[in-house]
Amino acid sequence: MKLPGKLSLNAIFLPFLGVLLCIGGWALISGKSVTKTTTKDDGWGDMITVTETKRVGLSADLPAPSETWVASKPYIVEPFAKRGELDQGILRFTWLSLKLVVQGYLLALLIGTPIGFLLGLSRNFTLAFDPIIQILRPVSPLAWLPLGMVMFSGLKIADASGRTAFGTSDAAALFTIAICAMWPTVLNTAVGVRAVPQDYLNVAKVLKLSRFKTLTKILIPSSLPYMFTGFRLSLGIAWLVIVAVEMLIGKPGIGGFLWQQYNANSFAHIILSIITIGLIGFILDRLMSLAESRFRTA
Amino acid sequence: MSERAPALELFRLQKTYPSPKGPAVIVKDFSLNLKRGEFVTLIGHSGCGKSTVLSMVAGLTSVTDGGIILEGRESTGPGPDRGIVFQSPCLLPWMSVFDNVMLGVEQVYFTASKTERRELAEYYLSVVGLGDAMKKSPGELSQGMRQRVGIARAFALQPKMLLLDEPFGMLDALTKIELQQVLLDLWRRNRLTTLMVTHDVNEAIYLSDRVVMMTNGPEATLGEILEIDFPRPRKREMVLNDPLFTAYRDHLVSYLTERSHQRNEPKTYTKENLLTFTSDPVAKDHTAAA
Repeated sequence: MKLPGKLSLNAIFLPFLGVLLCIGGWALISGKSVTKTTTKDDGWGDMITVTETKRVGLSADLPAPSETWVASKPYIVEPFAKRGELDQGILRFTWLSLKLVVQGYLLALLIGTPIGFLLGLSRNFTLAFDPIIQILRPVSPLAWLPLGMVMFSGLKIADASGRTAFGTSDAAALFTIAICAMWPTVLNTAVGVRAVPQDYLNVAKVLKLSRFKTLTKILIPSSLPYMFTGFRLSLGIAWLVIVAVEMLIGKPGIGGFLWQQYNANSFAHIILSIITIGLIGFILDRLMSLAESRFRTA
Repeated sequence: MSERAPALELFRLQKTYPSPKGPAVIVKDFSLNLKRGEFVTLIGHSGCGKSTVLSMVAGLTSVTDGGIILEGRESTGPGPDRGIVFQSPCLLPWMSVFDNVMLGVEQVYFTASKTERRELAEYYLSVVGLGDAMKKSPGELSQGMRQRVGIARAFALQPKMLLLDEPFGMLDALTKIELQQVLLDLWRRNRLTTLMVTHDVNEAIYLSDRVVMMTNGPEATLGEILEIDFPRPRKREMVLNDPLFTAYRDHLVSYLTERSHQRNEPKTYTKENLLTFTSDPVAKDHTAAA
């Protein structure tokens, strides 16, 4: 692969062109409002003027880029506004979603990493649990969430004022994010542990390192690059899952906002949400890649 | 224990691996005794099983049959009482050079104070010429420097014996000479019983008290033993220019080219009864070419 050593004109120009082409295609298929004024007989001999607004186009209800921008402007220029529980600035919603994602993601790492180590270290553990992992891994978040609601039904932790601070739906959301996001961490950690070079294990054997020291001085540092690949993929999945979870449980957040705006026929805001979700996901992935490359060279 | 008991006793060592065509015997009936403070080299064709023997002594490969007795005790697994220098230095890249040595020192001298342990690690690193590079990570060092760390790590354990598995096999000729000197200097101070594996005939003669020749595998075993009679400390130029050196080398090379496939009762040779080529190898090459 050729890396762009210096930023050529193309490296700046072509991405813009790509975005422009996509927006162009979007404008082409999206609908527009057409107001038609007709004069017709009302049936009693009087001529009346009727003004009809209709949407026309290939996908008539899809808002055009310009309409999307106009409708989204209040959410973007005041990204942290709070006008109501489900009417907040776009970054405020994002923040709410990120908070939930981080909790679920940390839970995923906390559970996934030890399981990965056990899989990597013990052949018997792998034989026992690998089949069930392979079966649970492809299950969609939409399937896990109802189970979470059932598992944690009746859970209620109230804050000082008696309001539910952490209820069934919160627990179910965390459960869903954690169980969906942990698989890349589990599998990559296992691969990393299995890939620890025999040379390093020989050093541990010759020095008769204790199990704990072998883990902290040899196994963890050696498999860290693999683990970080897993961490990065897990974060990507956690971010995917959050949208689905918020849609189902109606929590305020970027996914909840998207679903609510669909129900409110504010289609432009769906597009705003999608672009935001994509951008945030991209930024998260870049940040994790940075952390990953640091550990790779170490 | 008595001074005359062997430091290391290998008794009818055997290594068998299961294979689809039945058990594959790599090494069979390999018996050898090492005196305390003796430097013995195993030499043989590549793949003959000399590294397997070393690995069994290290405890990293299980012994199928026979026994290993180190300082009067049967040795059954790996342990820090045997310092090992591998062909690749096997340093942990996420630790500094100093920490790599300390990892072993802390295991062996867990009763010593922190300062004592630090001093010990620093001492051995400065002896191998890395006094200024202790805080560096292994990735910043050349291959030769890394192998110096490997040597320091092995000696810092102050083990009962030293095991060297082609320690200079991956180095260029000049670095190899430098490191042989580093090894000899350290070895002279400690006089550790040493078992080395190499396929470099010159290296074997220069460093060893005895060179043990192994027959070709499978079922490799002890072929001949050659006692090297050069006074210590040895000077490289003196050894290389000594006519005896050429005679030793002829014996070893003629063994490897002409006798290593034979299976006779192992015989010990000294400078008095050296063998040489049965036919001139150069002349033989000519007839082969013609």
